[in-house]
Amino acid sequence: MNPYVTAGYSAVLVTLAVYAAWLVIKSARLRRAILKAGSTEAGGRA
Amino acid sequence: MTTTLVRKAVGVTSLALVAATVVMGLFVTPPDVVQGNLARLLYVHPPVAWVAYLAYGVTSIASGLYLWRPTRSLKWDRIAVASAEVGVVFTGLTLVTGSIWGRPAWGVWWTWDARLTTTAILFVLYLGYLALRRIPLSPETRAKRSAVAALIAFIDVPIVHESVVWWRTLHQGATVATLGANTKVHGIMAWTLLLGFIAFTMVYIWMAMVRYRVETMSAEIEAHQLEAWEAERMAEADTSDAAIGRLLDPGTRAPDEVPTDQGVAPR
Amino acid sequence: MIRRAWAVARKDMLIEVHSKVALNQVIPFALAVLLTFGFALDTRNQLLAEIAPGLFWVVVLFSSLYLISRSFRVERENAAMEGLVLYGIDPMAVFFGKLAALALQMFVLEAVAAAGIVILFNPPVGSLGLLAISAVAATLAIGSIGLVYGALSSSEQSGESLLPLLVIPVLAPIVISAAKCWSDAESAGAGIYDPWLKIVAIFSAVFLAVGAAAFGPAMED
Repeated sequence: MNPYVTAGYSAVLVTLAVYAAWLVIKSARLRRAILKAGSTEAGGRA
Repeated sequence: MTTTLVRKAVGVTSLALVAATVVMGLFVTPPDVVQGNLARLLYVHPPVAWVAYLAYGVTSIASGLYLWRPTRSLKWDRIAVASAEVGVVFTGLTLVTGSIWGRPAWGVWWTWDARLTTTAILFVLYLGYLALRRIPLSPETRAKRSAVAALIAFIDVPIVHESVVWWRTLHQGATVATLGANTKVHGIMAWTLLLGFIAFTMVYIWMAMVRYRVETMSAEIEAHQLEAWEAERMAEADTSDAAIGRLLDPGTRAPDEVPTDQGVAPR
Repeated sequence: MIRRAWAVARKDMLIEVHSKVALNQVIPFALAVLLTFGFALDTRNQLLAEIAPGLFWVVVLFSSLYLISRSFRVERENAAMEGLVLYGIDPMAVFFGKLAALALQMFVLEAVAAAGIVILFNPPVGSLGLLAISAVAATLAIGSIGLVYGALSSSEQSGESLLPLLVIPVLAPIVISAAKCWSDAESAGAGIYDPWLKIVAIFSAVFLAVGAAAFGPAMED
């Protein structure tokens, strides 16, 4: 495989994967915080 | 409930579509006649760039809807920031993949071509937008200010593009052949390109949805904390008021100790 | 409205007359940067003369950012801006007043910086008219966009580097076209019919309109 092609595809896939993981972790953490704060109604609505 | 389902469905679909694009782009499609294997970057670079522009378009529309009084709602502000952040990620990727393609195709990592320069300025422009949003302000003030900034950015982009085009053409001819021009797109290659566009658009939709949710939940927590903090202060104020009262006038120790008809204070 | 704009402009000019921040800090800063370019680029006269137009606009843009943040720091103390809004003064009047005061300071800055460049880097000057007209247009554009972003980023907690980050990419077209005008003005045959002058004038009109329209929403909270 052409090294430039490999570099291009991995740059896109790795970056998107990292950003997606950050989003998922962040949203899970916020959800836990909301549930913990006792506003179950808010957590369920989201 | 349904939003969660939709979000999950979009997430799974976009994952599958990206996987399909990678398999098609790297292994199924034949190498290009002119560019050989290098042309495989065609299946990611233009779709990623398209998503960047799409994201900024959404940010601009949402910002406009926020500023327009009849539709003013913090919902639009959250859509604007969610879309802008995803847009910045994709603009960064556009620059990186373009550079990686440019190096073997043109011999340089970077050239001051109109499209490249505009994209670079766009990247910095929206980094600024995101930085502006980090100033601690009330949600309404922040929403209004960032909506104004987003609309100026939206007006600025075509001006930047035109200026760079003139800058590059008035003095020296356009030196760089446009990307797709020497790549003939046929049959399976065209379908893979289309697949790439759909796949990355789905990724954008999913990311913007999750980012929107993060924004909503952060706002909720912030409001909750503010409330709790206020309640705490109120309670504190109450107890301290009571304490001060007791010190000043021991006669008011408790409501059931109110003076009887003789009305004699202890002191 | 013109009277009110004039009052705002007069107020800003008086503040400058009393504090002399532009005179004692910003203009010397611009000169210091010009000298630094000389050291950093190793006094290669030919090169310095060639890139002088670009250097000039970079120096003017960066120095103006100090004038702009200053213009808003003054308003933020004692919440003077809210006062103006509460008095029901048209934001348009505030905008044009502040723009007039800012532009005046920038013209002085530009005159000093241009003289410094001519003396230090010795570039040829072909057309003073082209230099002057393009400078007026570019100054109005830098001032308009600067004021809007100054209002947008005005807060106790915003860092000093936020305003430059916001303004510089937006003004890229002005830096490009103004530097091209000045570049063209170096040649002997240059005149005010330069194609770049038209471009900088159009951009400037657009930025002025955008600034006037956006300043109100940016300023009111």
